[in-house]
Amino acid sequence: MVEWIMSPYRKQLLDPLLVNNPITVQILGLCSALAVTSALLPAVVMSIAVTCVLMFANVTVSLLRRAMPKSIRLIIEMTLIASAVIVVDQVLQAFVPDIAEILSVFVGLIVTNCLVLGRTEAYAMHNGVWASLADGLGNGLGYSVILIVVGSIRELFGSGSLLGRQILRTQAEGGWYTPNELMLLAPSAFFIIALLIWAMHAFGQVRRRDSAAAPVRESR
Amino acid sequence: MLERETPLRTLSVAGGVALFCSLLVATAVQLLKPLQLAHAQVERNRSMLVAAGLTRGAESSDLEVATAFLDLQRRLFDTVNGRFTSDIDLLSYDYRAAVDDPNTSRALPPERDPAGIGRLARYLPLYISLEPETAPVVIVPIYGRGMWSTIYGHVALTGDFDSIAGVSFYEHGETPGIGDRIENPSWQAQWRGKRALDADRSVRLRIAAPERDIEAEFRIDAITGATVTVAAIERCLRFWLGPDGYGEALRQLAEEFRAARDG
Repeated sequence: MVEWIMSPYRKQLLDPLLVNNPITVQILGLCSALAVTSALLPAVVMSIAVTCVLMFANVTVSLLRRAMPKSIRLIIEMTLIASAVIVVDQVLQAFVPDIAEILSVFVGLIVTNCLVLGRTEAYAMHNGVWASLADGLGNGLGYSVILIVVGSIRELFGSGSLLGRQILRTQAEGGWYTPNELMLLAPSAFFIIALLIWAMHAFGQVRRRDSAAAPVRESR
Repeated sequence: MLERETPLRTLSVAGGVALFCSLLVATAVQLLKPLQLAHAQVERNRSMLVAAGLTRGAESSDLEVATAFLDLQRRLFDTVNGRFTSDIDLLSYDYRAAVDDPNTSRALPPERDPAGIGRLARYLPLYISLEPETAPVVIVPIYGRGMWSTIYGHVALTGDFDSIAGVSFYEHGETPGIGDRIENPSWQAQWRGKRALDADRSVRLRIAAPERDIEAEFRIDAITGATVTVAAIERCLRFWLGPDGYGEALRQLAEEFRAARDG
């Protein structure tokens, strides 16, 4: 535990959880955050998928960063990301086909999730493999935190359940709770994420925009 | 270190990345294919059981589906000589694969192909549920061209195998929110008890709006906005329950069961 806290990569791991959260601070990857959070389980699976893709993309781009010709840099990054996404999609279809069906096109759309390309461009292109791995994991977890919070709120108030298990007994089943059906529609995710962004900027120690935008240059 | 921006360097990096990525993707697809196919098979069997009302649908576990499927009696009908056959083990027979093989299927002339399927397998599978407390139910797979895609499903028949015990569709690419309402359980529920065949065993079932002049026992409500999909399913039934599909097999089976019942 002590070694872990002293680890040189704790900044890369912990910053994206709150201070530099990819969704609420970097404002990246919102589209999928709106689409897959109507229930908690798909949100969790999507979080794992995005985290895996982020780690794979960051590591491979970091490994290739010295060899990569400038002219085809983006194409190579996209190729690596797209391949990782196809593999993740195939794995989901093989092991959790029911959830893969709920996530439908949104797994494939991780390719165009600006969070992944954003991290490879801003971080992995300029940093070593281990730091990039930590950055990928950290940002993946930061993305997951928001997805899980939004997914929990939406499922709890939209269907009265969590992970499909009934928490608030709905009136349809003889209980007292009237589900708020707005929660099952995409606009509710807009409101919840907007409130989270506001809360983090108002009360949290959010890193200022200008310093977040400037990537840490690797010393040569 | 080599110069970074030479054409040779660019090409070799691009080639290397492309090779690595294609190997990665190809390996993943190949390794995971058996699992995905097994899942597709379970879903197909689940659809069969749903049509016959023998399962709790999506709530049943894969194991329950497999067990219930194995409890069904399996029969294979040879469309060339018009008899049931036991030459082929039906457990290993895949009619969807057989259709693609010219040795095990034949082309359908367009005028005898209302379902729009092009080719018909020589051997057609039938699954029979012999639950002691209910009348025997025969389940047959059906498929046909819909609006955008081929619709795959099952229809279960009971009585003299002329009335519908249930229907289900497990694979299609119809318009979300419109054509895909063929999956809606309450729409499928009204199929139960309808008569598909008349006394001469020709297909009388129609999917139409209530005001159409069709007797209620032969009519299923159409779906508003999904005219093309619903008409395709009607044509599909006309083909599969008709003389070029399962018509003769169902007639022989009904006779066999009637003979057994009457002693």
